[in-house]
Amino acid sequence: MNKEIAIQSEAELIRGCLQRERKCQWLLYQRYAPVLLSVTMRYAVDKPQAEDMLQETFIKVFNHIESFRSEGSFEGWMRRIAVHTSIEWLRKHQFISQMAEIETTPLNQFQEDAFHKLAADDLIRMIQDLSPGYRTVFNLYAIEGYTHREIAEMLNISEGTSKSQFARARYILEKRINQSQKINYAAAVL
Amino acid sequence: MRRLFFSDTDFARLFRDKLRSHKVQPTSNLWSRIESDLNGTKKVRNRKGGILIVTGTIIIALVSIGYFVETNLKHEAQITNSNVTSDIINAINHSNQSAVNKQYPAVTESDRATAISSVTHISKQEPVFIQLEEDIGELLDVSQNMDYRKKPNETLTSLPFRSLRFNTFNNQANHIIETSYRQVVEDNPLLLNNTAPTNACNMGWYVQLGASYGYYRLLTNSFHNNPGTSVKFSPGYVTTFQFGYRLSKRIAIQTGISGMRAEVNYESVNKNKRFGSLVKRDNSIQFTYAQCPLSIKYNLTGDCKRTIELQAGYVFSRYISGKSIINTLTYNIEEQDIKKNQHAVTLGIEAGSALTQNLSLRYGISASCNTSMLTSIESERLNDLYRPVPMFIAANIGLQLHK
Repeated sequence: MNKEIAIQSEAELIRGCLQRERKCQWLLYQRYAPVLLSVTMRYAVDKPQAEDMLQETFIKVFNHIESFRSEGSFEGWMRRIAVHTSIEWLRKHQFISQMAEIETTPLNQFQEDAFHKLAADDLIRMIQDLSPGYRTVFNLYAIEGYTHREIAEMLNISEGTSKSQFARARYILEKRINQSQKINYAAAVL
Repeated sequence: MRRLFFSDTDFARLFRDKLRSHKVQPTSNLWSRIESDLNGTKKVRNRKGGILIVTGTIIIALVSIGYFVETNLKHEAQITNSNVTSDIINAINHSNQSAVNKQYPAVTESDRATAISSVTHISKQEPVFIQLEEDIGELLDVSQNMDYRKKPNETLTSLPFRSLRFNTFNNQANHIIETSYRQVVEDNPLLLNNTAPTNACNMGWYVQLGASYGYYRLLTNSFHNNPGTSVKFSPGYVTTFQFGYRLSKRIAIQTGISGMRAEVNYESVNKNKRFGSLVKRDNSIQFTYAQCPLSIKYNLTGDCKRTIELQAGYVFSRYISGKSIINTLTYNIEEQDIKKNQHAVTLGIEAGSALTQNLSLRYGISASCNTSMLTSIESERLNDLYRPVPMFIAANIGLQLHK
C-alpha cells in the first residue's frame, strides 16, 4: 500500500482529488493523515478529539482543493487548514470563548537537558494538559510561528492577552519539563 | 553552553524543532468516517469515545447524587447501589480496563494519557500510594501525572476552585486508581475568565474581623478667644465586622458594621475676669458610635499572597451613647447636644499576608475625616468658638476569612 502512495506524485494526487477520485483521496489521506493528526493533537485534549478535528480538516481539504494554487507547499496549505479547523472546532465547542490578559507570570529556570530527554509524545501530552486558551496560543506562536498580532486577530483577543497567555503556557510547560527531570532523577536513584 | 533563561523565540524553536516532523497514526476507522462524510452519510463518530464520555458524565452524575462505585483491583467496576439502572451499569462496565486495553493495545505515554483522561473509575479505596509502592515504574508514571495536580496551593494566587478528578493507571499486575480533588491552579483560563467567583485573587466573598486603634487629630481649631483651653484627644477603639465581595482580581467592595468608642479630654481654663479668678476644669467626653462603612478597595499588587490595597470609603456613624465627665462629676450628655449622625470619608492603605489558603492577616492604616460630632457639645463648653474638623487616624489589624 505504501508503495502505491510513493508511486503517485503529489501533483498527481492533487489532480486526482480535483477529479474527486476516491482512490486519490484515500492515498492523500494515507500520506498526510499522520502529519496532520500530529497538528490537531496539539490543539485537542486527546486523540479522539484530535481525530474529529482531522476528519473535518480532510473534508475541507477535499471539498476546497481547487482553491490550492500550487504556489506554496501543499502540506503547508493543509497544515493551515488543520490549524484553522482545530481553532474553529474549539470555538464551536466553546473551549475557547474568552481569554483575558494575565497580570504577572513568574520566571522559571528552564532545564534544557530535561527538554531534550523528553519524547515528542510526552511534549504533546504536556501541551494537551494545558487549558484550551494557553494551548491554542502556545501552538500558534511556538509551533505555527504566528506573531502575537496575528494570533490576536485570529482569536479576537488583544495582543497583550496573547502574550500573557503564551507566557503562562510557557511557565507551566517549563515547570512540567523541569519536574520530569526530577522524576527521571528519582527513578535513577530508586 | 547550558542556558537557564531562554527568549520566547528560542523556547518556541525548541518545541518547533521537536514537533514539526512528528507524526501520529490515526485509528483505522477514521478514513471510513471521512468517506461517509464525503458521501453525505455521516457515521457516528468515535463510538468508543462517545461511550467513555457518556460514562464519565454518568459517573460524575452518580457522584453528585451520592452514589458510590467500588472498583476492585481486577480491572472491573461494580456498582454497589441496586438503584442504579442496568444501563448505567453497562456504561460503566464498558469503561473498564479491558475496554482501555482494547482501544489502546500498545500503551504508549500519550495513549496512557488519553486513557487516563477518558476512562474514569470512582474508588473508595483510599491509599493509592500503598498500592503504588508495589510497582516503582507505576509510581513514576503516577508521579508524573499527579505531580502538578496534587500539589497543594503554592500561593493564594491559585484558583480556589476544585474539581473532582478520577484517574486510572494500569499495568498488567495492578489497576491503580487515583481519586482526588484536583486543585485547578494555573492552567484554566476559562474558569478564570468565565466563572465570576473563581479567581487568583480569591474572588467572591470574604469576611473581615478587625480592630482599629487610633487618635483623633484636629485639622482646624481656634481657641484664640479662649487661650486657656487645651484639648487632648485620647485613643479611640473601633471593632469591625465587615464583609466584602471581590468584583475582580483587583477591585473589591466592602461593607459591614463597626462599633466605635472614643474619648475627648480637654482642660479648660476660663480666664473670664468677670469672675475674678481663673477657673480650671478637666473635661472628658466619652461617646460610642455605631458605624456602617462602605469602601472600595483596589489591589495594587494583583497578587493575593502579599497584597497591598488602597481603600477609599464612606462611613456613616450613628451616636449611641455618651457621657461627660467634668472634674470627676459625671453626667450623661443630653441628647440634644449631640449630633446624631456623622459622615466621614476615609482613605487607607492595607496590606495582607496569606496565613492559609482561606485566611489572611490584614493590617494597615487609615484616616477618616468626619463631619464634626462635637460641635454642639463644644458650643456649650467652649462658647461655640471651636469648630473642629476631627480626623481619626487609625492603625488597623484584622483577620480575613475568604473563599
